[in-house]
Amino acid sequence: MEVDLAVIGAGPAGITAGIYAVRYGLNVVVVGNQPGGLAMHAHEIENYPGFKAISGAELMQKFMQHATKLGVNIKHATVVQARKLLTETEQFEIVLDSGETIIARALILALGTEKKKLNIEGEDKFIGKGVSYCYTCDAAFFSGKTVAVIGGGDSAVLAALLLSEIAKKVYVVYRRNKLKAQHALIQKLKAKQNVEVIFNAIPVKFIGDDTLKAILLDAFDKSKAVVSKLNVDGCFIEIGEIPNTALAKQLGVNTDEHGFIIVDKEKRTNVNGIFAAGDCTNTVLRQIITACADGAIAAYSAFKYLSKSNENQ
Amino acid sequence: MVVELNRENFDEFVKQNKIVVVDFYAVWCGPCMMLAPIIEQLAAEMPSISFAKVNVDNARELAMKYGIMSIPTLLVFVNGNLVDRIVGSMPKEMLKARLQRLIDANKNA
Repeated sequence: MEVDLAVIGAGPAGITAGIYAVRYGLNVVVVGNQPGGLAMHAHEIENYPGFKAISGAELMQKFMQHATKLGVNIKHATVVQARKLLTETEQFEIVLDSGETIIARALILALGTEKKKLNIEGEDKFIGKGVSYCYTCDAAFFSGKTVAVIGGGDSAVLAALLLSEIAKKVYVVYRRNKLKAQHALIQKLKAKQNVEVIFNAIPVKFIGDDTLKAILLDAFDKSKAVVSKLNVDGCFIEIGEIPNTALAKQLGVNTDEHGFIIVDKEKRTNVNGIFAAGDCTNTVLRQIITACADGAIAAYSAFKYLSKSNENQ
Repeated sequence: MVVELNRENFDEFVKQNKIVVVDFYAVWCGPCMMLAPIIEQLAAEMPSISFAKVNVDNARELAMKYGIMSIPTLLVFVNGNLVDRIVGSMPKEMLKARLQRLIDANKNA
């Protein structure tokens, strides 16, 4: 398959880039192994204009329907390899897990992020047996039970808020002494009777038999004491995200010290013909709306770039 | 085709088919929505496997019986016995390779 533009990643940034590109008249394909991206995990989104409250899954379905209706080709596949071809004009080749190869004259990397793991003993053993990275998926299985949420940012507090409606008791375990979530969310959390925040604590081990039974904790600031063991039936890990930028490295695209792709204000990377958008870039805010905006700018820049290279041919 | 199962027809379906893959899902679960079309495609591509799905909201007792605490979860049965459990969504080709190994292992059984 040969296209003008291939967008890798089918989250908010990738889908929006597809929508803009198709409206610029480009022959575009969007390839993603997780259509909808991490936004699919969001339980309730209250800051996307036009929707007072909508679930991430529903909003992303609307995105995909919109794009598909405009003629954007969204492929559900994993890109296993990407490289620049040694041709006279800039061309890139991406290989999908199905074996299919796509040749594109420009690329937009909208690779997104994935949830960070704690990397502690017992974590892998209890995945699906009490340890979860998706509270919207799994909260319902903890009705009347005791659970912990690890983390102190927006997603951790959102998880705790949802779980407080379902579980008997919710602990929020955070290493610092003050939650870093948005003020509005913290205020909501404070009103919950069955939520207890444990500060200055880091999980060190998950223990249990067939299922999770407890989390062993340690103090983050060793000069202060913290409870050493929490008996829980479930644990939701919401400690942030890391960028999925393995493909960027294959293509020689520069990343910052945290692994995020470095882009300029037109979403150009250091490689001619490669643009990047959304959570995988070195941006200051990682939200659905900012990812969409990035996707639109990247598509515009790719369009300008492709028009110029047409003139030169 | 992916057959919707419930408490009434689950056991019979698992017993009557040699290799069965059951997708435990819910309509409000984003990753389940990502996995569902993959399961549909595999059902068309792998005729030696009987694919089914269980909506955990309509069949809570089945989810409890099999200790489902995370969705999507795939349970794999061979000759009525639970042989594999796959938690979370995964890329199609990876899932297909895992199921193909199972088909190969049970060819002569």
